[in-house]
Amino acid sequence: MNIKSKPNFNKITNQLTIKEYTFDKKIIHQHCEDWRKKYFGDSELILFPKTVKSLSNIVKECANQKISIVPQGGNTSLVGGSVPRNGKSDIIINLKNLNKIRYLDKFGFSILLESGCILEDIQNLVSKENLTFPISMGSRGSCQIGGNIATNAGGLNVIKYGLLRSNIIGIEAVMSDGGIYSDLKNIKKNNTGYDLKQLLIGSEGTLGIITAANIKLFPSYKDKNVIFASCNKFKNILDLYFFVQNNFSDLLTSFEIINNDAMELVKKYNKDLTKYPERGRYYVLIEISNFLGIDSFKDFIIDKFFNLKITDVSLIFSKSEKENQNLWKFRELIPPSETFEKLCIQHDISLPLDKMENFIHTTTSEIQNLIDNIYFINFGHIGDNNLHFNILSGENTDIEKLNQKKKLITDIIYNNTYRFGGSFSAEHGIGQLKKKEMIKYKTKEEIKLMREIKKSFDPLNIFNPGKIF
Amino acid sequence: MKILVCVKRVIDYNVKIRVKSDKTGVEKDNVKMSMNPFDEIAVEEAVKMKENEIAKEIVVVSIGTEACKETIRSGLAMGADRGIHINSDEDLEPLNISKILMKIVENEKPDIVLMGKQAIDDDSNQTGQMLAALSGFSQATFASKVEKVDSFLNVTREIDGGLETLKLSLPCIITTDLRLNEPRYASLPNIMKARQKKIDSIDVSTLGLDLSPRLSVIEVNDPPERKAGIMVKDIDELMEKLTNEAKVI
Ligand SMILES: Cc1cc2nc3c(=O)[nH]c(=O)nc-3n(C[C@H](O)[C@H](O)[C@H](O)COP(=O)(O)OP(=O)(O)OC[C@H]3O[C@@H](n4cnc5c(N)ncnc54)[C@H](O)[C@@H]3O)c2cc1C
Repeated sequence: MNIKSKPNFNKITNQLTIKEYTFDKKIIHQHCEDWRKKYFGDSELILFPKTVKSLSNIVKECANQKISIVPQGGNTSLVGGSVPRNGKSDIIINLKNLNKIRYLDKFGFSILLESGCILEDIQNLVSKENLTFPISMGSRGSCQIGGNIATNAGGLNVIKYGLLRSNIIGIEAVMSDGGIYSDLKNIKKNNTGYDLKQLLIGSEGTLGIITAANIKLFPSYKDKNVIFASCNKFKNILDLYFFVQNNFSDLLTSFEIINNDAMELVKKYNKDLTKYPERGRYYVLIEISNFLGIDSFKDFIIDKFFNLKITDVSLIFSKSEKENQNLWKFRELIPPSETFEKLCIQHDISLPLDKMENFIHTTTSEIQNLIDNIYFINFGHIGDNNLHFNILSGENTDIEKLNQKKKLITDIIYNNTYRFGGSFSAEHGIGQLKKKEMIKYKTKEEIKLMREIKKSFDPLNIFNPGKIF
Repeated sequence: MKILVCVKRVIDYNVKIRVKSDKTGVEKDNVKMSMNPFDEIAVEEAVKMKENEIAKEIVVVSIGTEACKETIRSGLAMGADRGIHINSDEDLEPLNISKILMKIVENEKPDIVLMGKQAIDDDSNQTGQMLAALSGFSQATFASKVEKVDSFLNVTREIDGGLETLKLSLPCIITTDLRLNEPRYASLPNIMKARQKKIDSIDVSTLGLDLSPRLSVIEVNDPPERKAGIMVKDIDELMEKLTNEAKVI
């Protein structure tokens, strides 16, 4: 057998100060375990480089020795993308120390910052200047902007600002030979050949290590108002979506659906919520934000709703920020409430809006034929086609049976998603979790092109091997 | 029975307050405004009394700029019957507010006046009491429960030692505390109905009152920043710090 020679880590650590790396098993262990505690890899060395120059030198040395690298941000990946594999001698490069704000251009509405900046810190910094950062999500306290870019993160405001991709003006990255790719011109129009940064966005650490980015900023809002709808037909949701898009366009910042099982779950585990909206099969949370500084914003919204012709929808309007927050709880408390039940099988999918109802109906009844006494937790940023389709156990569920059927259920969901023209991973990417689905549902041509791109960016396969493909 | 509910438009409870750079007050431009939460509780209580057929008519009154009409409409959407808006661009102190309200009380002759125990912007906690003095109505402050018994109202109040129940004859003034009720959400049909309801506008200058201020604000400052905590090694160090630095022992 051909035994791989032991890597010479000295040549790597020589490039760094003592504080920028560690062999400490305990520290490394924390970085080898993913957020959901589903993937445990191992590694002998973790690096925390402070400068792009030293990162570039390290990667050059890794390429020399063919040492594989896992780029890591806040390690909040939900698909096992940010942790090393088992027994493969991957080293981890965590970007947390590469965290300078290089330039905030108030008049150009952009910010140039390094990958290790934590999302929430950026949001706070920017809001002090009365500006808004275009993305936000539940993991904002831990995730880094580099990780966000590497996963083309979505989150709570996609309906308003689009995916992160549409807000990236420029990127700087260290490539697999240690070279520094830099496209940081502070300009929005730049049609000069292939737009290479687009390949790095969403590449999950497999094409290069992102070191900095120039990102769009937006004006901030004066206040927000939440409107909460209950209805019984999916058609009502689409009508409502059409109505708010037409009437509020740019002021619409969220459009989220919640089905009845999800609402009942939240009520069951959050007894402090006492005021409920009227019952329905579906609920919709609409958030409209006052970017125009309108004085009587509630009246402004209500004036528009006077023209609403949709019947069979019952609507409530929040009167204060406290009521906004209370209504948001019905949406935000769904994921934590799921953890109180024994088993939850989660799927983060997306579907064309006009197929969503048919998909939900077909998939639900196919799964009900397999097993009864289970709950269908459907919710999500429907304005961005995103649907969480989770199967949850309850008091009367036969857990053993549900565990046996788990794979079958997931197959039904992904097969139907494919059949209705949707995607088996809306936001969270592929990582290690969805590699099989990647081969199953992507076309041969897509996979072939992706492999060729990977080969040309990273011929030695040192960046995050074993992820995506 | 007729109920008059007084509501104030204030900076929303959840907004971070910013002191103006010249220290003359707080920043009110471009911030979210809502009904004073205690007043919202007062509206809710009035609406409940109407639903329980204790009251026949609810009138909501607000004093301030044109935007206060939006706050009145919030009250109408919760179930009040009509509104009165007293137009004034001045920042009026509690005594002057009470004098204006007294005028409204004289005109409307309500059996019950309901209002929050205080407004969360200046935290004065004076208007209800001053209006009671001006009108000679019976008064109950900090109400956490209101019940009608014969021709009286039994009002439970939150006091330092616990709860106290007062028996009030009418007409009366009740100021509301947090635990009295939980205000309802406004539904679209009720908001629509509210649009049909009447709001009378009165300019404050037509009331013939002397509203010259008796208080002047010298300076507004941010509260002092809290110092970060420290970790002590052991009980001895804790005792040492409490005795010599904090000087509380
Ligand atoms: C509570 C919670 C809520 C979430 N909500 C959302 C949501 O609403 N929308 C959404 O899209 N995601 C969501 N996620 C998933 C996750 O937070 C995002 O994918 C996030 O963008 C990952 O950032 P990170 O810094 O933690 O990256 P990591 O998890 O560390 O890494 C993610 C991937 O990016 C690579 N990577 C990291 N940094 C770099 C870099 N500098 N250069 C190159 N590659 C890099 C890693 O190798 C890995 O493949 C959520 C996760 C949690 C735990």
